[in-house]
Amino acid sequence: MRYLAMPSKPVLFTAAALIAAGVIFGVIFWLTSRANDTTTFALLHTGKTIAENGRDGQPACVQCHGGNGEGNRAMGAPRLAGMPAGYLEKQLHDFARNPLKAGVTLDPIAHDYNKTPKIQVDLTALTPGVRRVDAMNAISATLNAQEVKAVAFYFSSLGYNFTAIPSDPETLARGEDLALRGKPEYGIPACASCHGADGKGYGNHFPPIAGQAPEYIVQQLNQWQTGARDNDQMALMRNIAEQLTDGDKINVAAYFANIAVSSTGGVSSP
Amino acid sequence: MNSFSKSVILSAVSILCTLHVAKAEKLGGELDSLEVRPTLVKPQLSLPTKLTEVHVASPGEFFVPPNVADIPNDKYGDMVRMGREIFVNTQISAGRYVGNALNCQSCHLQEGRKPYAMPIWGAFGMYPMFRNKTRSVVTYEQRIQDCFRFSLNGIPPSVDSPEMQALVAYSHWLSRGAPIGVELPGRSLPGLMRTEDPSPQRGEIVYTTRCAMCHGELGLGKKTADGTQYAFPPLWGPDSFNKGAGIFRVRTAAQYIKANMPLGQGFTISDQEALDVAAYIWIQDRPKDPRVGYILDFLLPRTGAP
Amino acid sequence: MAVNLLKHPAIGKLFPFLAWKGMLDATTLRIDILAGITAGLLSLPQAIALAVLAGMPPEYGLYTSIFPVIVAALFGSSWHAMSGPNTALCILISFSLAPYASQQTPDWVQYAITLTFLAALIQLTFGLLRLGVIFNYFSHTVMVALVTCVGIIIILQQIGNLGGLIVNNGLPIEDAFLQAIYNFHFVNPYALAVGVSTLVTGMLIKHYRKNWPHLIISVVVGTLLALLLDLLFGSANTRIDKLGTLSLSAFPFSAPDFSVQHFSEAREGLLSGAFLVAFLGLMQSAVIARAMAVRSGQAININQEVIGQGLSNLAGSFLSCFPSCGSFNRSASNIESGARTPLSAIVSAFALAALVVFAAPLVRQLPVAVMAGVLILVGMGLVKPSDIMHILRVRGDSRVVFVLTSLTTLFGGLDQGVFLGIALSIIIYLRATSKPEIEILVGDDARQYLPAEVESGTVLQISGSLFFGSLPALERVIGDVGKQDHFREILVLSGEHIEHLDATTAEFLAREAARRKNKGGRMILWLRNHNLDNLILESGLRTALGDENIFYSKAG
Repeated sequence: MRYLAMPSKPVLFTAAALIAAGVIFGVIFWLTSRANDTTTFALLHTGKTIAENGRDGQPACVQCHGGNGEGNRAMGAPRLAGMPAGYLEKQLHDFARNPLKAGVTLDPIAHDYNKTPKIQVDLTALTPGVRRVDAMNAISATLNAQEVKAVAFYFSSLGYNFTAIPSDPETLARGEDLALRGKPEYGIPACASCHGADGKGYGNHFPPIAGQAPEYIVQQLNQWQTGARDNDQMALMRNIAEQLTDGDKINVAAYFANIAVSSTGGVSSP
Repeated sequence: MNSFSKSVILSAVSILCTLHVAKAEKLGGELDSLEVRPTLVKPQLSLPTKLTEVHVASPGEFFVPPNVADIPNDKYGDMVRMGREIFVNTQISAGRYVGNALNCQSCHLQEGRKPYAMPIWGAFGMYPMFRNKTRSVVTYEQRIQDCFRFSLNGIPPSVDSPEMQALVAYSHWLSRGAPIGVELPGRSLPGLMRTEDPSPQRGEIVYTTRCAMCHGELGLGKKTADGTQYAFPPLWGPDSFNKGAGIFRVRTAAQYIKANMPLGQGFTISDQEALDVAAYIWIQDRPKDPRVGYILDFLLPRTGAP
Repeated sequence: MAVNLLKHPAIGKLFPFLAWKGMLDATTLRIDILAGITAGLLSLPQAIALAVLAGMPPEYGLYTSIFPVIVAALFGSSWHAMSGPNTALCILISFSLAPYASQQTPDWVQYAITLTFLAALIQLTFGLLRLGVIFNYFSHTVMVALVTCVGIIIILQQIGNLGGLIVNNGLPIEDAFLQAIYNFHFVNPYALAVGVSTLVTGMLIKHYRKNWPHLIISVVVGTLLALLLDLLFGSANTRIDKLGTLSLSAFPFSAPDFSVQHFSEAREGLLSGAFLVAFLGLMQSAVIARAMAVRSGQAININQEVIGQGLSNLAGSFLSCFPSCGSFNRSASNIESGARTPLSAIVSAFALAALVVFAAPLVRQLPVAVMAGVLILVGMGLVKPSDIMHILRVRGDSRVVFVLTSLTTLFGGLDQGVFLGIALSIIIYLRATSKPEIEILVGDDARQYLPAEVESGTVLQISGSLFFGSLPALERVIGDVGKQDHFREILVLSGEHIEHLDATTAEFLAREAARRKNKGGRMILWLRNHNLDNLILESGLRTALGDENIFYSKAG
């Protein structure tokens, strides 16, 4: 082993300066990232307060959606725990746009056909959208943008545990057929192509379907169909729902409700 | 103007401003019934209130392939199941041969069943056939090899490999009952009428309004949360099909997009919009065409697939 | 009294690696690790090629080059023999499984794993019953015939792949070869160029630079040529079939499957195939272990070797491996690189695993034509024309045995060939041992055996083993003598070199003695020592001859 000579003074000095700069940068970076934690904490706190206490005399979120946001099957209130924060925000914004004032007409629902006709598509759907649920319209009208963000963030951080709801194999087979293959001859895409094969959804625009009560899923499909819920981009869901029979809706809801999902919760950066 | 009127006007303006500001704080605001709903873009490409023509999809018009639950429980059924696995989840089941992030199902929608999305039942009975692309009569296996070579940017499995046998078995089962050699409705991509040259600039606008929500702002698709696969396939970039693929051609891409995209809303955009967005996709960067050697590609750049 | 548990003989039998563990000092460690790394890196092309030969996906060749090697090194007896996929075994596997599944399908893979398990059980049975010694008696000519035909089969099968032709390898090899010739106009010129370049490079290096690792250099040359052709002409035009991305897992657990749907229809084939695989594997391992022992001077325990092979296949069947046994090439290069202990084999397994992880992108581009070239080189290495000429020139049994085994293997398949080989070996052995040497002694040699008062008589010197098989020869000679002297004269049997006498022969001699006595003659028996006294008494030979007619040699 050869003896390595000591480097010269300028080299040493430069090296020391670079290392010191790196250390200082690291400390600043760490401190600023810690600042995000306080923002997260503030959001969680605000969200929790609103969720548990309500606002302006309106009922609190937990009264219908459950103490941990797990939803209330009897009341038709969906699970909020673990839903993407951006998705919950958008829904609250859409609730606040009162549809009756915007002049939306509600079409009668299409019931069980032997032959579901394809309805002409109306491209007026390039809108931020509206969603009509009487209770939610009133509640979200009382919230401002910052509070909506906090509530959404709070609920998305909660954990949940959804046990699979069993159903008979024929229903599940038909539901799986719809979920994985759609109705090709009608041009209905598979649910899984956007919502994932396991129903876990993707991002803020394609919410998870697994982990929701089957009655809620059927109710939402009906709302898409009548136009009471109109906040999908480019009318993607309305097109699909318009061509599903009642039986289809029940089957596909049963398939997705048969998937057990759970999560321990936690926050990602807001 | 005397001071009184000035103060009235001033206070009115200030009150109005305050009201406006207060209104803006309120969530969502109240939409005026006469207010035009905001769109994401100006200028408009097509009047959004125009009702467009769609193909009526009545049952019986298109071939209906058999149900997956009806795959038989014998060795043939095992092959069919294996083939379906490869078709639906090519990344995992035929990972040896795939070179990008696509599955067969990414383009042959709904497990190869959807009419106008290049369904398998429409193709299987037409092979062996003469293909302009290779200027020869190709068998079905060779056609699948070209899919691997171009659309999946990978290494084609040899015709006697088990993956190829499985895919052929699945195609055979899916086409059960379809007549041989007959052009079935829904097999071919629909024709387009062109009024002007396709414009990638207009195509970019179509892309950002209609396509970006699923395929990503940069067209690179969107990966699932665990990053193992793509939830929505990339349209260009290193993980997409290469320049030798049939869908790389502007015309083919436009026909496909018109018939199938946005997903679930086939035939809702106009021919011109389809061509424009296809041209926009065409100019993007993607893996090179394996039919052209690097040296030749550099000296004689290709301007488009034949 | 404190007993060192590790030195207990039973522990030594259970854990044979304790024998060489103490030898690992710094020098040995260095040499072994270096030899192991070299061997491991160089075995990559052969591992993949032999997997393809056995009809398995290429990942399984790598598993088989890693896991059974470690177990065989730990539990085998030879310190220099290296296990791994073996060419003849791979051909045997493909012949055995061909009627039941298509190559590289999950069914085929499952059958191969079950086959490994069954072969392991058979090998372990042989080892635990201490029957390992019988593998030393396998006829050398049959082994040469089998190995030569394996080489020919490989060459004929791979000619199609060399040119990028799809040849249905389930056919008899003459049909596969003819198919390749008739389809020659479909040959892919680029693939042919790549394959031929691999072949020529390998042949040139073997001829001019024997020290260089010819297989891996030819693989590298072939792959680079394929990449160059793709670069120049475009991969869609050259259409060279390639290996693809391997999906490897660190612990590929598997298990033999005896369920009804995976075993019942292939039952006969798997059981007979397992027997053949076990036998062929052990025959080759015995030959290799002996060859290594000759070169290294190590005394090997053949039963331990058999048990080691059985355990390696047993472990392999639970780790996604197909049957393996000792490998000629790897063992020879191992001992030539100076390895001293089986540690080199263990290191080679780890080196191969590391290489595969890092070289995966390159392995993806490996053309099938290059694999075919590698296999043809391996096959050419198995066919040694000088040995064949040597056997065919010498008149006698060897020639017949060689031709018979070769024809059966080539036209009936290797499984038929191995069956025939085992049968022929048994026949040859029996024939050899059943011919005792019977000489008629004359003159002074005869004089010393005749009693003093007797003038003339016939003296027969018998040497060798006398058992029921040798009875006809003995009967013929004694009958001829009896015809000549009408049973009236003296017949002396000099049995000083009789190695073994069994009851049947003793009874026959007793009958002959009685017959001679009745006709007025006399039979005298000379023996070397008293070892056969019990047998002579019990079989009645002593009473028939009479005590005065049995003599013992004074000098040895």
